[in-house]
Amino acid sequence: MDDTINDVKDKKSFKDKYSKISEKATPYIFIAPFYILFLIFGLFPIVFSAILAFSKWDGIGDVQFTGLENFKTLLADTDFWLSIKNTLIIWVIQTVPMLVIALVLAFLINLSIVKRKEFYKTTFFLPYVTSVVAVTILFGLIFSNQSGLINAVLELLGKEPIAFIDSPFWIRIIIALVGIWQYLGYNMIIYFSGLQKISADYYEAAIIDGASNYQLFTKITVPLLKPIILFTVMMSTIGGLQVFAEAQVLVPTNATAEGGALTIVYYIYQTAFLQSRYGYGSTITWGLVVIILIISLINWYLTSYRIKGEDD
Amino acid sequence: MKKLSLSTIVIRFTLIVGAIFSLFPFYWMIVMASRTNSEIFAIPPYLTLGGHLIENTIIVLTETNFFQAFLNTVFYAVVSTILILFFDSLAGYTFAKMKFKGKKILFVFLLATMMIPGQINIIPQFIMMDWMGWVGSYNALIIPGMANAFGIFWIKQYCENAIPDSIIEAAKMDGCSTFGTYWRIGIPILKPALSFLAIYSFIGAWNNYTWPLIILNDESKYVISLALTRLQGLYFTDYPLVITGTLISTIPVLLIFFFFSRQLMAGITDGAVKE
Amino acid sequence: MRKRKKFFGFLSSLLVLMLVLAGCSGSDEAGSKTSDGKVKLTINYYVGAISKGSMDAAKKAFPDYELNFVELPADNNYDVKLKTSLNSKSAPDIATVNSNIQDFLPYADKFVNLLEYDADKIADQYVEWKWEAAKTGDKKSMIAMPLDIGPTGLFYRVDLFEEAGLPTDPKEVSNLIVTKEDYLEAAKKMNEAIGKPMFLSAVGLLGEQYRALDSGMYNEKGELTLADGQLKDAWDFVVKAIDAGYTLGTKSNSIDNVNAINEGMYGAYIGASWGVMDVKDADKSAGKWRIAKTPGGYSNQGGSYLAVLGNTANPKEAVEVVKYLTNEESQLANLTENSLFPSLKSIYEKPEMISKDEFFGGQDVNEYFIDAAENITYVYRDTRDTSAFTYFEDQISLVESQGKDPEKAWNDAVKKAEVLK
Repeated sequence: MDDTINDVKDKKSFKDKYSKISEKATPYIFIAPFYILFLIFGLFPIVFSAILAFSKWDGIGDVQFTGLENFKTLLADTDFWLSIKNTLIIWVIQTVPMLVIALVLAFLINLSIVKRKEFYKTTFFLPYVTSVVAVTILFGLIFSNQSGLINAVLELLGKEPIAFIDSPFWIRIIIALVGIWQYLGYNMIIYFSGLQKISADYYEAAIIDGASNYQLFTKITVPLLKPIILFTVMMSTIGGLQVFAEAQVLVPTNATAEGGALTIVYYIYQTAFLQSRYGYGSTITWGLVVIILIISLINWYLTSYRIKGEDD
Repeated sequence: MKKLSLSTIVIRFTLIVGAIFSLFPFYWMIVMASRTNSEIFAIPPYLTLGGHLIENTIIVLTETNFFQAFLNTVFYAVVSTILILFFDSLAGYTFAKMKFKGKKILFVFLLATMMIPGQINIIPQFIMMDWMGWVGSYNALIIPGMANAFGIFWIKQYCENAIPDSIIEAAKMDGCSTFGTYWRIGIPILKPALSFLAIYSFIGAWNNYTWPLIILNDESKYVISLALTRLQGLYFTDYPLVITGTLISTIPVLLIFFFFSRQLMAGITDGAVKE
Repeated sequence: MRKRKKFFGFLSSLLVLMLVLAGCSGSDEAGSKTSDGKVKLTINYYVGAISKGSMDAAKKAFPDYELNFVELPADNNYDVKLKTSLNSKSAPDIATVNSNIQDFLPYADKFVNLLEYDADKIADQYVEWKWEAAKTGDKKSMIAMPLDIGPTGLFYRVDLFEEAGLPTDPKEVSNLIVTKEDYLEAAKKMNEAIGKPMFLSAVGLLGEQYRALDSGMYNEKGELTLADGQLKDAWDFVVKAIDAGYTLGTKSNSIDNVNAINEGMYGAYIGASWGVMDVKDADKSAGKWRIAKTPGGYSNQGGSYLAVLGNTANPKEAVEVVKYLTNEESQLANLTENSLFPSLKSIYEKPEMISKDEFFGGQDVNEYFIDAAENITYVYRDTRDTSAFTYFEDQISLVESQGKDPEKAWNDAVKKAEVLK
C-alpha cells in the first residue's frame, strides 16, 4: 500500500526510509505476542504429544517408541469410532437449536418494543457463570432415574419413569441440553453485541416501508450478522467436538461408547488419565484433530462460499 | 395496532419462557443450599426454601479460607483479563485493519491452534513449567494464556465491520501513529467487543480448576475453585455445602457481569458516530 | 519519533508487568531448610486422609521440623498431580497414596525405600496384606506405610429380611449366608416373598465379587489370567442375578441410591467400613440396617498409604514423620475424627474401636470389619488390574441396562483387556 502512495510530503529521506521499515514491521510486532507465547508454551506440548502418539508411556517412566502400533490399534478401535459418532450426534443436537434460539432471542431483546433488556440479557447469560460442580449436581438431580424432578413430574402425569442416564438415546439429549443451558446466553450476548453495530437507521427505514418483525430478522439481522454467525458456528464446532465435562459430570463412572455417554475427549481422558496410557491417549487426540480439521475445512468452505455467492 | 400487540405478546411470552428456563436451576440451587444433606434427597423433593442457608454459608466461609482464596482469584482473574484484553485487541485489530505479507497464513495458523484439545497438553505443559521453575506460581496461570486465539479471532471478526477504513485514514492524515490510531480510534469503537471478551476471560479464569490444581502447591495461593474442593470429603460429600460454596463464588462474577453489561449496552453509537 | 516513544513505552511497561508477576512468585522456592535452620517438610494429602488431631500432634512431636500439610481434592486429578511431581523438582516430601498403590510400584526408585529405614521392625504391628501390598514384587523395596484400610461387611435391611422370612440377627445372618451361592439363594427368597431385589446393581455386585477374588487380573509375569477363571465365575453369578431380576439397577454412587436406601428398595450390599457414614445420608432408614460377615470371602475396599518421595532432601526426617503419622496415636485420632479404619492391629483391642451405633440398631458396627481386617489375604495386583476390571464393569452395566447379550459382553471386555499393554 505504501508503495503506491507517492505523494507523501515528508522531506528528509532518511527519516522516511526509517519510518517505512518500522511501518512494515509494526503489524508483525502487534501480533507477535501470540506467536511468541505459542512458540514457548504451545509448541513443546504439541511436539511432545506427537511423539507420544507413536509411543507407550504411563506418565512416570521412560517413553518407549512403538512405531505405528497405536495407529493400527486406533483404526481397529470400535470405541474410537463410536465415541466420534456420539460426539457428532451431541454436537448437532446441541449446536443447531442453541444458535438458532440464541439469534432469535438476541433479535427479540434488541427490538424497541421490548423493555427491561438488561434483565433479559443478564438472565440468559447467568448459566454461563456457573461452574461444572454445580451443573453436575443440578442436572444429576433433575434427571436421576428414580428421584429426579422430571421423573417425579412424569409420575404425577401417570407416565412410566424414564432411565435418562442409562439410555443411549436420552443421555445424548441431556448432555446436549446441559450445553444448551450453559451456553445459550453466551451466544445470545455475542449476537447481541453484533446487533448493536447494526445502525438503527436500517431498521427504521425498513419499518417505514412496512416490514414485519420476521422480515426485519431475515432481511436485515441475519445477513448483516453473517461474520458473527460464522464466528459462533466455528467456535461451537470447536467446542462441541471437544465436549467432555457435561458427559463426565452426568456419567462419572462406567461411561461406555455403546452407552452413548463416551464422547471423544472423554475417551481421551479415560485412556490417558484413568488408565495411564498417555501414548494411546495422544494417538486418539491426533485422530480427533484430523476430524476437527476436516469438519472445519468443510464448514469454512461452505460458509465463505455462500457468503460470497450471496453478497457479491 | 392490534397485530402489533399480538406480536408483542408472543415476544414477551417467548422471552419469559426463556428466562424461566435459565433461572429455574438457580432457584433450585438456592433451595438446595438452604437444606441439609438428607433433605435434598427427599422424595418428593422440597420445592421451597429451607432454614439452613445462613448456617451453610457460615460453614463455607470458615471451612474454606474463603477470603484469602477470594483475593487470590481476584488478582489472578483481573491481571489475566487486562493482559488478554490488551494483547488480543491489538492483534485482532492488526489482523482486521492492517495489510502485511503472510497475514492469511498466520491467521489460519492461529485458528488451527484452537483445534487442539487442551486435556492432553496438561502433562507436557506441567513439565515445561517445572523446567522454568513456575510450578506454584501465578506466572504459570497467567502468562501462557495472555494472548489467546479465541480473543484475537473475536476482536478481528468484530473489527472488520465496526471500524470503517475511512476513519483510520483520517486519523493517519491527522498524524496519528499506528499504535495511536489503534488506541484512540480502535479501542473506543471496540468497547462492546472488549466488554464481552473481558467477561469471557474473567469467568474463564474464575472457574479455572484443573490447571491451578496441578500448578499451585501452597494453600495460601489457592484460588476459589480449589478452596471449594475442601467441602468434598474422601468418602462423603455434603451436597448443600458444595452448592452453597458454588453460589457464593458465583456472586462476584455476577457483579462483574452487571458492571460490564452497561458497557455492552452503551455500545457503538457513542463511539463510532462521533469520530 | 512519537510512534517509537509510544512503542518503547509500551514495551517497558510490559517488562515492568512481567517483573511484577515474576516478583510475586519467586519467594517461595521450596528449600529443604527454613531460615532458622529447621527441617522443612511438605506433606500432600487428599481431603479426609489425615485428621486434624494427627497433624497437630505431629507438629508438636517434631518441634525442630516445619511441617507443611497441603490438602488436595480427593479426585482423579490427585494422581495426575502426584505422578507429574514424581519427576519434578517441585514435589512434596511426603504424599498420601490411595489403594491403587500398585500403580506406583514399578517406580519404586522414585520413592524412598522404607526397608532401608528399618520399617520391617514394626511390620508385625500392621495388618499383613496391606503392608505387603506396598512392597515391590521382589520384596526388596517398600514405598509406603499403611494409614487406613476399608474392610467390608454385609450391610442388610432387617425389615426386608424379616418380611422375606430370612434371619435378622447379625450372627444368624453370618451363619446362613456364607458363600456367594447362599447370597443368591437369599436373594431368591426375598424376590419370591416380597418381590424386591436383594442387590443394588450389576456393577456393584461384580465389584463385590472382584474384591473377594484370591488372585488378581494378571499374574506376576504380567499375563492376563482373569484370576484363573474366578472372574468368569463371578461374571456368571452376576448374570444369573440380573436374569432373575435380583438387581435394582441403580448406580452405587448416585443420588438414586440414597433414595433407594431411604425407601427400602433393595435388601443388602457388601460395603466397606467407611460406608457406615454414607448410608446415614439416607436418614429415613435409621435403625433398619445391620452389618454381618461378608459372604463369599473377606474383602477390602479403599484405604490410604503415606509415601516418602525420592526427591526429598531430608529422607531420614521424612521417614520419621511418616512413621509418626501412621502410629497408634495418629491412627486413633484418624479413627475418632475422620472414621478411618486403622491398619494397626493393636487398636482393634481398644475401647475406641467399639462403636455401638443407633443407626444400626445399637449393634457394634466394627465387629465384622475387625474380623475381615485380620483375615484378608494379600493378592498380587498388576498396574493394569483396575483398568482391565473396569472393562468388565462397563460391559456388565450394558448387560443390565440395555440387555446386551452376556456372552458378547464378556468377549468384548476380554478383547479390550487384551489390548492393555
